[in-house]
Amino acid sequence: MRLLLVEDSKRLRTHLRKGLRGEGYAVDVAGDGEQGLWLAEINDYDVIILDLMLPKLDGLGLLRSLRAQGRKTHVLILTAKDAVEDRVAGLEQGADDYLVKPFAFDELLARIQALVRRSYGAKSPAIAIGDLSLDTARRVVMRAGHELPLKPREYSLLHFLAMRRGEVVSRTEIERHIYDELVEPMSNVVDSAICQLRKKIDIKGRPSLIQTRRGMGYLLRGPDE
Amino acid sequence: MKSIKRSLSLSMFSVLFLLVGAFGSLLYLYAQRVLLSQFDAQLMDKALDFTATSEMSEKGEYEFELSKVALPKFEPSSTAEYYQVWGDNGAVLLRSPSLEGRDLPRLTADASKILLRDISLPDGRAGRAVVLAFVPGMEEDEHGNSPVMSATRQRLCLVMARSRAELDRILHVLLLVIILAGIGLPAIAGLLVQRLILRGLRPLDQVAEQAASIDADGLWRRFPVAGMPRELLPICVRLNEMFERLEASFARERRFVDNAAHELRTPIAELRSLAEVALRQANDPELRETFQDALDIAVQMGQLTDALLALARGESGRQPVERSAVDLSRLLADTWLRFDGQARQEEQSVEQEIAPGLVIESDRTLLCAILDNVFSNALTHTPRAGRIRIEAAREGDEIRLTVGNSSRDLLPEDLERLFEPFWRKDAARTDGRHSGLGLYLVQLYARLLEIELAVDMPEAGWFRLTLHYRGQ
Repeated sequence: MRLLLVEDSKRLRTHLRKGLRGEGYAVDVAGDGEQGLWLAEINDYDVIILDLMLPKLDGLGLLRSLRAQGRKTHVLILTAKDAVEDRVAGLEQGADDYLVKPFAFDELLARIQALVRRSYGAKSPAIAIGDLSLDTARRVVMRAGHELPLKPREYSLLHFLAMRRGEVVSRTEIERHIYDELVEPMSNVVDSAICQLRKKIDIKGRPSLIQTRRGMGYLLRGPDE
Repeated sequence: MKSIKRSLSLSMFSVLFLLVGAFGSLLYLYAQRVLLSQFDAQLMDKALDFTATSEMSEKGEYEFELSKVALPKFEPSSTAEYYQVWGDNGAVLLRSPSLEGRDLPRLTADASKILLRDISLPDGRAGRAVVLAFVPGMEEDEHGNSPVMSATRQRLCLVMARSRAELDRILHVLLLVIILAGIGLPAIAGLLVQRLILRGLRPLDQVAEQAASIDADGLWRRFPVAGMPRELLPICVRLNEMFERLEASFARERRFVDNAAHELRTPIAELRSLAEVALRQANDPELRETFQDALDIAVQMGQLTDALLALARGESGRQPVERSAVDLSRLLADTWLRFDGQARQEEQSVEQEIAPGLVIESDRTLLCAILDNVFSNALTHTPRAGRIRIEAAREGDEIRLTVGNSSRDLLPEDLERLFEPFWRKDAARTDGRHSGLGLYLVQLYARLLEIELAVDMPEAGWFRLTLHYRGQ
């Protein structure tokens, strides 16, 4: 899942990016509103984490511009302003959630998860594909009753495919949602990641849950689907 | 409380009452004087007629011509008039038939004066009398000579009287009319005046209503100056200027709190995020302990900042109060659940006596903040294995909530300092769990919600905090 973090505090930007990347998210960052708006316009993010008091263009201005362009990306406002009128103003401008600084990192993760689920129309944190199950709240993947040790990016890739289960997802879409600006995806980086993921989630002697559609992309679906 | 309308109405009514009273009194006195003077004049005319027609005969006998004529008014009746004549020596020379042998009071008058007196008539009624001293004329012979020497003629005294019942009746009726007018006119005028005052003061009422409806959220409002009476115009202009300054001041304060929130919260968020992210990735136990300490500090600083900002908002009147029906019984139980685990860890015994269905009209968020702080305070200051007691009950239209806890250190003289910001019983204590602002915030929020707050120590080692909600 790809996130955009628009925050003027360099330290907060750095640590949040580190923490979120550690959880498998692809994270782009912007230090001011204009840069944030530009990134939001050229990339397809799952969630935008937006500070309100920003240089050049404030958070509400950025949000207004995005909504005026018809972009429905979920926005989580992250701000020091906690007054009710500030929250109401943020939500009225089209924000989806509001978190006041200082916050617990776990709470930030939970709220991002909830917004990601909403992005893909899922209501429950649990996803089951055959005997493969994802608990998106605990970020745990089980196959045939066994917990699978996935790396954060592998989990993120599986999560993205699971959210689009039954759909063919192109390499470009995977690149856009799984890799951030720090990673320059090579031509075979998605294929390699899919290969690694298959090794971890598939069971020998049984067909792979991730099917390749040549020239189109990948499809995650259960054996009976 | 002083009321301009009331004091104006009262003053106008008093002035009207005095004016009408004074006018009525003068009118009565004048009428009394005129009527009495007419009454006396009639009586005097009759007396003068009587004396003018009296004379002494050649034989030296007195002849009173009027007494010879049987005038009905001097005959006995309820409207009879009276006369009586005395000689110089005091002998009664003549009585009117109406006296029926009784006497009028004998009054004396100088020759040059006519006396008028109020007397009591023989039948007991009040009367008016004229007293006249006179010398009767002499009967002349055919040559125009008086046969009796004037030296032998004596001075007689005539008292003529009549009842003043009719006069008094007229005066009484007049007095009654004046009294009724004296009461009725000010009452009618008072009502009219009150109506006029109400109409005249309507612009003042409008200004007062508008002023009352302006709160911290309505400082943009201004008083209309167009069409405002000249007397109120300077007040409205000054009030508008004051609201402009207040609005600017509130805006400054709002910016300050926003900026302070940003400046304080952002570094705390940085520290907290740093510690939490590092804790997720660090495996070295010593390093983890260091990051955990940093996280604890960040959490503590965050709580202090929250408390300070809540305080700034509350004190600047920016804390919104949104009242709705709140089930206090349920809220108490739900809020306590968050503290129950900690109480168990400390082996504190907790007694709850909460009446069901205690519903009050209040702000749920502020009420939660009050209960959070009160419970947290009780838990923190109750020693291990101590006792906490929560009681809530309805008393008539009121609801009383009491949270008591055993306390080792607190003394009755400490109670008045409990609500001071940052006050701690032990100045050196830095357990990091409390900001020292909890009870101060409780006091602030209770004031916003119009809840009475009291603390006492009914016995040594037992602290009690009472919240007293009076129905609205």
